[in-house]
Amino acid sequence: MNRNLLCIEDLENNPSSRVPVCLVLDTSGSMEGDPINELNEGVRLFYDAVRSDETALYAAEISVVTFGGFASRQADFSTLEHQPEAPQFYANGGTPMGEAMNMALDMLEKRKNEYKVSGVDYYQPWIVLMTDGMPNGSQAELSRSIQRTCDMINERKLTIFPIGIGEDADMDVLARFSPKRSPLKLQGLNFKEFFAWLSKSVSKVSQSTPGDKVQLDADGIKGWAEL
Amino acid sequence: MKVTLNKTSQSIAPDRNLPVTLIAKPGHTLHMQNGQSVILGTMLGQGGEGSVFKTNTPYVAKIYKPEKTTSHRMTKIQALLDKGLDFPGICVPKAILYNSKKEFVGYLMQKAEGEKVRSLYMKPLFMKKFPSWKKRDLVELCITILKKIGYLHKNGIILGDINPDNIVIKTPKDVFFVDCDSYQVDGIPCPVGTIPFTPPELQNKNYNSILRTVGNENFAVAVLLFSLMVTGQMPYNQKNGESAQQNIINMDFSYPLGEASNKKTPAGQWRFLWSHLPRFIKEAFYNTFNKGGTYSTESTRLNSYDWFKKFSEYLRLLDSGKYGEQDKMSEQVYPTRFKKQKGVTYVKCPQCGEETDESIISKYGICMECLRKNRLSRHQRPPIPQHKPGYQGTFGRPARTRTSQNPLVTALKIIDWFI
Ligand SMILES: Nc1ncnc2c1ncn2[C@@H]1O[C@H](COP(=O)(O)OP(=O)(O)O)[C@@H](O)[C@H]1O
Ligand SMILES: [Zn+2]
Repeated sequence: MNRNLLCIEDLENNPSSRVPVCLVLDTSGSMEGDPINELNEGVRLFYDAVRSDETALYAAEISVVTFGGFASRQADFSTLEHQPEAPQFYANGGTPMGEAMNMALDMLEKRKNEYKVSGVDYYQPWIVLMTDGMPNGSQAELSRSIQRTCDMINERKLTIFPIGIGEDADMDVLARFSPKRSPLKLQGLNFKEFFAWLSKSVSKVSQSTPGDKVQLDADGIKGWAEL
Repeated sequence: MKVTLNKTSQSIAPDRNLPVTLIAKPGHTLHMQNGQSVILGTMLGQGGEGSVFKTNTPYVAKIYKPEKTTSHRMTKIQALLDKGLDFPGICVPKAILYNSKKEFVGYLMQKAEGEKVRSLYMKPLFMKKFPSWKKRDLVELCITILKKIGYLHKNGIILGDINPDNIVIKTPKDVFFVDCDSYQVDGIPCPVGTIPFTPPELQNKNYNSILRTVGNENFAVAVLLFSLMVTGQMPYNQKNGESAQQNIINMDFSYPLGEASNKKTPAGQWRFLWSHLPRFIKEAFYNTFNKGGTYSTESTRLNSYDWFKKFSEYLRLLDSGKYGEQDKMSEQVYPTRFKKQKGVTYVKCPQCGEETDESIISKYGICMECLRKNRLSRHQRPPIPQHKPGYQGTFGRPARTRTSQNPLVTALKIIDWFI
C-alpha cells in the first residue's frame, strides 16, 4: 500500500497517543569498525525491545536520520508494527550534523501536523543525537538547527538526549543543542546498554498520559554513561 | 444526590517516612495486626510505588519501596480497612502487612487477572486479546464497572484516579479495580490524576490539595464509558483542535448529535462507532460533554446509577436482537460505515464493497470514504532515499518563520537525567 495512506490510515485506526522518537546518528567515516557494528546492534536491540512491548509497539513512532557524508532519512515516523526492521548503517564520509538535525526537525513538524489533522494526541517528542566527532557540514545549517532545537526545547516541545562517543566527540557542540541538560559521554561502546535504557524509557512514557510528568530510570543511566 | 462543594483538605499532620530496615523478599513471612501471617511468593508486577507478590494464600501482597512507606499512606490504608469494603473485584487493602521487625511494608489484597483497559484502546491489541467480543460485551463491561463504582460511591469513597491502567478485565463480568490504595477516603485526598479524566472545574489544580466530589468523579465515569463505546477515543480528542486539556476546559465535544456538531470529529472510523450508538446514549454523552448541556456541570452530571440504567437498557436491546434489526452492523465493535437509516436505499460501493447511502455516492460512482482515501493516497510522501545524496531541501535557505501552533499536548516534563 501507498506509504502516505498507510501512515495516515494508521493514525485513524489506532488513536493511541504517540511517542515520537527520532534517532539522529553519526555514521561518518570515523565510525568505521567496532563503533558502527555496535551502533547497528544497539539500534536493532532497540527495535526488538520496543516491538516486544505491547503498549510501545502501538504508541512509539520511531524515525532515523543518519549523517555520514550527507544527511539521510533511513526511516520516517511510524510505529514498528508497520516498520519492524531496523535500518542497517555503513560508516562513510563527513559529519553534516546540522543538516541531519534540520532534516529530523522537518520530519517531526510534518508528522506532528499529521497527528493534529487526524486528531491523535502525542507526547513531547524525543531526539537522540549521537556523534563521535565534530560537525563539518554547512556552518549556517548547523547554527540554524541549533537555534530551532533550542527554541523547541525552551517551549517544551522537544526533549533531546545528546550523546558523545569516544575521545573525539565534540561535547561543546552537543551542549549547544541542549540548553537544559549537559550532554553525556557513552561508556566505551555501550550502545546496547544505552538503547536498552531508551526502550525502557519509551515504554514507560507510552504507559503514561500525555502531559504527565514521567520519572525516567536515573540509575539505569549508570549502565551506559560516563558520569 | 447531594453534592458538596470542593474544599481543600483539612490540615493533617505532615507526612513522614516510616523507615523499613528489612526489605521484604520472596520467602519472608509477613504479619498482620490480628496475628495471622503470610509468606511472600514470586513477584507478579512492578510499579512506581512498589511491587505486587503472590503469597501462600489466594491473596496477593503489595510491598512498597522503602521510601514510599509513609504515615499518610498507612493512615489511608487503615481508613479503607475501617470501611469494611467487600465487593468482588475491588482490590482494596484487606490487611496491613508488617515485617518481622514490626515495620509497615505493604498490604494484602484480592488478586487481579486479565488485561488492562488500555489494551482495549488499541484496535490491533483489542482484537488480539478479545477476538470474540461484540458490542454487547463492551456494554456489559460498562455495566460491571458501573456497579463497582456505584458501590464505592455509596460507601463514601471517591476513586479519584480513574484511568485505563487501574481497571483490569478478564471477561465482561469479571473485572478488577487495582491501585485502590490511592482512593479518596475520609477527607484524605487522592494525590494523583490524569488530564483526560479530570473535569473542567479541576483542570490545572493540584490533585494533592483538593478533595474531589462525586460530581467531579462523574465526569471521569462518563469519559471512561465514552472511551469504551467509541473504543479508544477520548471525548475531547479532535482534528485541527486545541490541546485535549483546552478542549476539556472549553467543553468543546467532538461528536455530533443530529445536526449539531463542531465538525472536529477525529478522522477515521470513530464517526461510525459513534453513529451506531443508540440515540439515548448519544444524548447522554452529548449533554455531559458539551458546554451548556443538560448534564454538563458538577451538580448535574449523570451518576453511576443513571448510567447503569441506560447501559442496562442498551444491553437488553442488543441481547434481544432488537437493536440489530435496523442495522446488523450495530452489534459489532468496529462498524465500517455509518448506521443505516430507515427509508434510505443502500447500494454496494464498487471499490470497497461496503453498503452506502445511494444518494451520497460520489460522481465517480464510489463511496465518500473511498473518495477520501483515494484523495489521501495522492498526497505522496517522498520516498526514502537509499544511497544517493539526500537532503538539500532547506539547504542554505534562511530559517523559516514558523506559525506558532498550539501543541496538541502540553509538554511532557521529564527528568533531569543527572538526579
Ligand atoms: N491485585 C493485584 N493482583 C495482581 N496483580 C496486581 C494487582 N495489583 C497490581 N498488580 C500488578 O502489579 C503491578 C504494579 O502494581 P501497581 O499497584 O499498579 O503499581 P504502582 O501503583 O506502584 O505503579 C502492575 O503491573 C499490576 O498489574
Ligand atoms: Zn467505498
